[in-house]
Amino acid sequence: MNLSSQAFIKKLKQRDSEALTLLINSYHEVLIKGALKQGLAFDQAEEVVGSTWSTFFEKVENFEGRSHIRTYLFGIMYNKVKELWRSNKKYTEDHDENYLETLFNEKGSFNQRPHSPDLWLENKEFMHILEQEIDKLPSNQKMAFVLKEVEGESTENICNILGISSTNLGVLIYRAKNRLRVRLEKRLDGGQK
Amino acid sequence: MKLFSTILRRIVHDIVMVLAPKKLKKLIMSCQEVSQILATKPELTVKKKMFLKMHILICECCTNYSKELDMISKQTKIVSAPKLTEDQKLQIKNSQQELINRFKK
Repeated sequence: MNLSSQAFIKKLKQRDSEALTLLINSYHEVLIKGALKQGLAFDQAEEVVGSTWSTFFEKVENFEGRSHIRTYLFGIMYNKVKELWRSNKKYTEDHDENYLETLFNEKGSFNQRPHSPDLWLENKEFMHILEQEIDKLPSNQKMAFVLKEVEGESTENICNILGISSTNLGVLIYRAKNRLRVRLEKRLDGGQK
Repeated sequence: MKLFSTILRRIVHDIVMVLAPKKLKKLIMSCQEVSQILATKPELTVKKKMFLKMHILICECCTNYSKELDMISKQTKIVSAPKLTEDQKLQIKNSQQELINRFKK
């Protein structure tokens, strides 16, 4: 059965057992993995996804099927993740974008030449440091970055899930990647010029 | 040999970026513009792709920048891949059934 068809959505609204089973079996594990990829612990991911399903079934009456049901579910889930981060006061928003201004001079050339990352993989701590730095990204940047680079979601899907424009998404991705590479250069390359 | 080619590349880059006519400089783009394209990967025209490649060919900085971003992308996928234990997989299966029972009429 096509999970984005009107017939399927109608069955969901009627809480048809077969439709429910198909939906939950199709997406529950994927949602949990999506939450884990955002850096949540397993029990947090389970809680967030459980809450996602509750919210989904509260709102399903109003779901018209204009977006794919997957996009709708993931949108709810990522909002729950952001709520959790806010309540834990984690991932303060990025108010300091000044570092971006210092990357380039007035002619648009690099102020500090990027290094070849060939030696990064030889550093035993590299993966651990990368994980730490991803975890330190401001919440919106982290979410956009993980959705794009890890989940491989399309720009359109990410914009629908996060409720942002494609221009905003580009800005978030650009900031996230530059923040990561600057931090990794600092921690891995040390004094290399 | 590598040092020689690096120096030669820098010389070519500096000559182009300083002495090229304004129109050509605009087409070849600055490192800042190239960095935005490399990071956000927008759809590009054939002409834009060609000049992007040309810029990267003569620019060691943007070559390294591109390599850094590729490395970060590849390794992020590995480091972010969820590793579920057998217990957790079983827990997921059980919670699936609980959810089905909870929400059906």
